[in-house]
Amino acid sequence: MSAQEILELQKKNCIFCKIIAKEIPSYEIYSDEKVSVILDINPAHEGHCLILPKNHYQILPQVPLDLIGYMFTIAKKTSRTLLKSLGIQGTTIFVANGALAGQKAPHFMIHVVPRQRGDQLFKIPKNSISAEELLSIKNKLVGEQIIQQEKQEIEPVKQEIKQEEVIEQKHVENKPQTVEERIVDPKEESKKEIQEDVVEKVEEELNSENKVKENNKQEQKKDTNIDDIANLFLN
Amino acid sequence: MTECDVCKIVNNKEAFHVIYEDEICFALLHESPAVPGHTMVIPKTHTTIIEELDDKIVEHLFVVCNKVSTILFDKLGAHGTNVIVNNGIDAGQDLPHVVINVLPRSENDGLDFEWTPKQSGQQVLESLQKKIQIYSDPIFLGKDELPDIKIQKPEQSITKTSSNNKIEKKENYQINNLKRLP
Ligand SMILES: [Zn+2]
Ligand SMILES: [Zn+2]
Repeated sequence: MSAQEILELQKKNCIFCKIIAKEIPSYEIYSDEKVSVILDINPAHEGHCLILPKNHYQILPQVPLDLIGYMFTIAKKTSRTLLKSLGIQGTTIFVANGALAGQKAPHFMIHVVPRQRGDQLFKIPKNSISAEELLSIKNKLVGEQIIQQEKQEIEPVKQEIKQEEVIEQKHVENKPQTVEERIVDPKEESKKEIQEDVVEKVEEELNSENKVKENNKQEQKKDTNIDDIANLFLN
Repeated sequence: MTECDVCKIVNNKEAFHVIYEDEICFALLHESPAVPGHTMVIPKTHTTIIEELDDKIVEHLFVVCNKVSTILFDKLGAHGTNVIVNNGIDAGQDLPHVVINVLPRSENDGLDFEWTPKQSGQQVLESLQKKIQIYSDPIFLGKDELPDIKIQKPEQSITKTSSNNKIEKKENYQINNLKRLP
C-alpha cells in the first residue's frame, strides 16, 4: 500500500470525518464550509468543545495557513461562547500535535476546555534553566538570516497566505512541503542531522511502517520529520 | 497603573531570547521553561485575554505559533508540540497579557496535559448543546454586542510580589458583574 492509499484508508476509518459527514451523530455547536465545532462526548469538563477542520489533516503542519488562522478565530469565538453560556471564568485553548503530545485521533483538532479554579488541568510547570542553555537553544532555533527573512515574509500577512494557497494547489498530495518552504531554513546541514536522528527514533516505534517511510523518504526527503510525526497514527 | 510585566519585555526585548519578531507579535524563549525550547508567542499590543483580540491578530498569532512549532520539530527534533492558551485566572493565566505557549514534546519529558475523560450522558450533552447555542449564534455571526466578557483578568502587573488581597478584591468585583448577566 502506498502512503497515499494508507492516508485514504485512514480517512475512511476516521471517526471525526464520519462525524463531519454526519454518518455519526454529534452535538454540534457551529458549522460552516471549513470547520465544525462539536461537544466532546468524553470531556475534561462539561462544555469541552472540539474545533474540527472539515478536511482530514493529521497534524498542525499539514493544515493550510489560512485555515490555521481561521480555526483559531473559531476557537476564540468558542471560548467566548463558553464563558458566556456556562458562566465560567476561564477557558483553555489546547492543541496536541503528534501522539507524543497527547493527540489521540489522527484528525487534527483544537480543544476549547471550560476551566474551573483549581482543576489542575493544563498546568505548565516552571523550571530553571541556565543562561547558557537558553542561548544555545536560541542559536539552534534561529540564525540571523532567519529573523531577517521572517520579517520580510510576515509583514504582508494576507499576501503570504495567498502565496501559500498557490503552493498548496501545486503540491496537493505533498502538503508538508509547503511547511518546509514556510520554515525559513537556509542551513540545510544541521537540519538533516537532526532529522536523521528523529527518523531513527521514530523507526523504532514504527517497524511496520518502514515501507511507507521509504516512499516518503524518496518522494519528499525534506519532510521526513513532519511526516513521521503524522505517521505515528498509522499504526 | 504600573506597566504590565509582558509589556516590559516588549520594550526591553534585547534582554530576552527572542526567536521571532514582526510588527504584530514576537516569540521568545520562556525564562523558566516547562521544557527546554518552551516558547511564548505574544502580541505586542497590551491585551489581557484572547477574546479581546481582533480576528486578524488571532489569525496571525497562530500562524506564527505554527511556524514556531515547525521550527521546534525541525531544529530541536521535537516529536510533538503543544499549543496552550490559558485564559483567565481560573485557567491558570498568571500574566495580565495574552501569552500563547508552544511546547516541544519528547518522550518522558515529564509534562502531562492529559485529563480524565468524563462520561457525559446523552441528556447532559443535549441540554449543554441547547444552553451553549443560545449564545453561540450571535457570537459566530459577529453580532455579539456585548464586548465585556466577565472573565477574571489577572491584575495588571501580577508579579511574584503582588499581594493576594489585590486579586481577591478583583475577583469579588468580577463575580458581582457576573451576577448581573442574564
Ligand atoms: Zn478525519
Ligand atoms: Zn501588557
